Amino acid sequence: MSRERPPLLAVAPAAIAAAFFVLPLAGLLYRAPWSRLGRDLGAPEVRTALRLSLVTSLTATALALLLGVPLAWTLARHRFPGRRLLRALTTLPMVLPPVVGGVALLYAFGRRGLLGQWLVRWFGITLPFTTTGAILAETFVAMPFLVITAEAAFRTLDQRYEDAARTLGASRWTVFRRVTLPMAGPALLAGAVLCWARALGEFGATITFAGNYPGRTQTMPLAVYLALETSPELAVALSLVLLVVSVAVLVGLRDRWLGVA
Amino acid sequence: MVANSPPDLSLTEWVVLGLLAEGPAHGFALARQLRPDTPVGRVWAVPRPLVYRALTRLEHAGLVRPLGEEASPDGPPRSVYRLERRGRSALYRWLDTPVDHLRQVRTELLTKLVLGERLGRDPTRLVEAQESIFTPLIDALDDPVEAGADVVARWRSEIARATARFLHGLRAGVCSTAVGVMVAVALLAAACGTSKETSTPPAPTVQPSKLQGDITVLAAASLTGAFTDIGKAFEADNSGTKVTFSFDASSTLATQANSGAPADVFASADEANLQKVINAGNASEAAVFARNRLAILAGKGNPKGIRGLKDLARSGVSFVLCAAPVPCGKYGAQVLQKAGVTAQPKSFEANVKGVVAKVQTGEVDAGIVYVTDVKAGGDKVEGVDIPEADNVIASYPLAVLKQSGRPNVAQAFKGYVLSSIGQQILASYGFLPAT
Repeated sequence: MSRERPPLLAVAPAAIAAAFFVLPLAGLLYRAPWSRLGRDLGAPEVRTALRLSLVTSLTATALALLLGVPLAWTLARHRFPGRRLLRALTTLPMVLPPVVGGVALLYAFGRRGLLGQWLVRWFGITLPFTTTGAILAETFVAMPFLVITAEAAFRTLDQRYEDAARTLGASRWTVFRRVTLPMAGPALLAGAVLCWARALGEFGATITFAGNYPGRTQTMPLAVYLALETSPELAVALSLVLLVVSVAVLVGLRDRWLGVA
Repeated sequence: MVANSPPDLSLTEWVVLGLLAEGPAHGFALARQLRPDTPVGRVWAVPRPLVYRALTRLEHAGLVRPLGEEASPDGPPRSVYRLERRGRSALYRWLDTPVDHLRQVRTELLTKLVLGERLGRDPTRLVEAQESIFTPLIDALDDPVEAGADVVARWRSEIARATARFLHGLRAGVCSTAVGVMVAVALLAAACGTSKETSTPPAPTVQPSKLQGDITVLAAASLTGAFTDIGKAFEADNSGTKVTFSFDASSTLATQANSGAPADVFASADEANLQKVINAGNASEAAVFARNRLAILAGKGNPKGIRGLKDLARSGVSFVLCAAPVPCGKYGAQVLQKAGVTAQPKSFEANVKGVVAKVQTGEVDAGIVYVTDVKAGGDKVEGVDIPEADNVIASYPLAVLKQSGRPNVAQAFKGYVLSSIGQQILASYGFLPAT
């Protein structure tokens, strides 16, 4: 890392950028009702929402790892027709307005949806208004963050290590498990944390697809949104919780990513 | 097409167009304004069937367009019509165009003067153009008394002289336009031997528009259709203004207004949320402009056979409500309580459009919404009445916000919503009158 004084031309915009990120957080901290914070956060509805948020976002992340890593690997290592289109489609939820994502999910998995109507008819399963629905909505929006990070990692890996393992008699699965995954490990972790952070903050797709019911689909962001209308102080308090959790995780992640311990 | 010549319309059609320039209206209301004993009707009365025919022709000519339908207590639904931009420019060109013959003074010229006055237009241009056509005509007439002419010639001559005096008076501003037109009506009505009007009050005049600027209106989600139309009509009547809307749950809008959102008017679906804004010192002088009732929204064909609130508690029936802070959520909980229904909804939606969407997509069997949302929900949904005893009446108030940068336009918009035009548009969306 350079020890020189950074050029002024870079410092000014950097300072503006930093202020742009810091100021809204400062605003939140400034408006935080410190005196009643403990009472607000101890309220049963808040604990319910927080617990639900942790459960759904962690499950969504696990689901994304389970399905997203193989998808990323396939996209990175195999050539097949339609690969570029598939890659574009998997990252689509990142640019799609989450509410539109929620509507799309309804049309796919809703009671009258493409797949949903058969789920109801054959298994009696309805996804909207259930915790599973909330997890699905979060996975839909958050998985692309994991997929693009993982795909980049798989693509930039030095394949000679894998080739060497193969020449020494390792099976495909062993190579993937013992060579590829450990090498891509830090990137996968980074992707998983990004994915989790996005799932934790998910609002639009969740409220559209899964609705808003306390304890079932009312995650922290939904609770914040509705609290904003009755008690802005409570909304700020709830936001602080999300903020603290996210910042803690992202700070840890960034150090790991850059390899600076 | 010759751009500068007005389209070829009958006088009746021009009169209907002229009344629509004052604001959107349905045929029935126009016909009422064109009865013989009304300010416009005493100049050119039009029977009701001809008003409808005129509207149809004007619509075909692309000069007016229907805004939507309004339920009528007896008979078929009425269409509310609104002037198109083309219609307005055609009308204004026509209003400035003089007539060719003396015999048209009583009919066409007088109509132009009356309509122009109601729209707050300066008659000078028309009068000057008219004088330049009539002066040579009048000068050419012989003195009928000296010439010993017959009765028709004498009549013509007297009318010509009276017209010349009348036009001169208008142009010179000896008397105000309003009085001038009154005199003319009396004079010509007498001269032409038609029935005399003595007890008609003066025509209400519309002040010329001096409003300029853009305003932003925060309005409850349930007002989406009606306010969009009112905004268009307001802009059409006040060129130089532009109205932008932000539709959301009233509670969200109240929070925004209290956070200093750059808005000018706030229209809420309940009094509590506007009161929050007034209590915070950000608005004053609220006026209730409409009321609304609740209804059950069911899917098309009502497959679950929902007949009332009690059916929401049946097993196998799913429904959603608005969230408690949102007015429709508060009202929804009230009607369930009144009916003694304790069933739990599947979800508490962030605003009433969220409830409509969940029913429209078939995710739930029913939702509790406003009567107006049933109408706005289209053909994928249908409404089930909630009886008077269980129902609640939602009052919709609006107020100008303190932070308004254009308080005069904001005030005018508030007045427009409360005016008969605004009320008519609201009624066409199923809202109940404020009182």
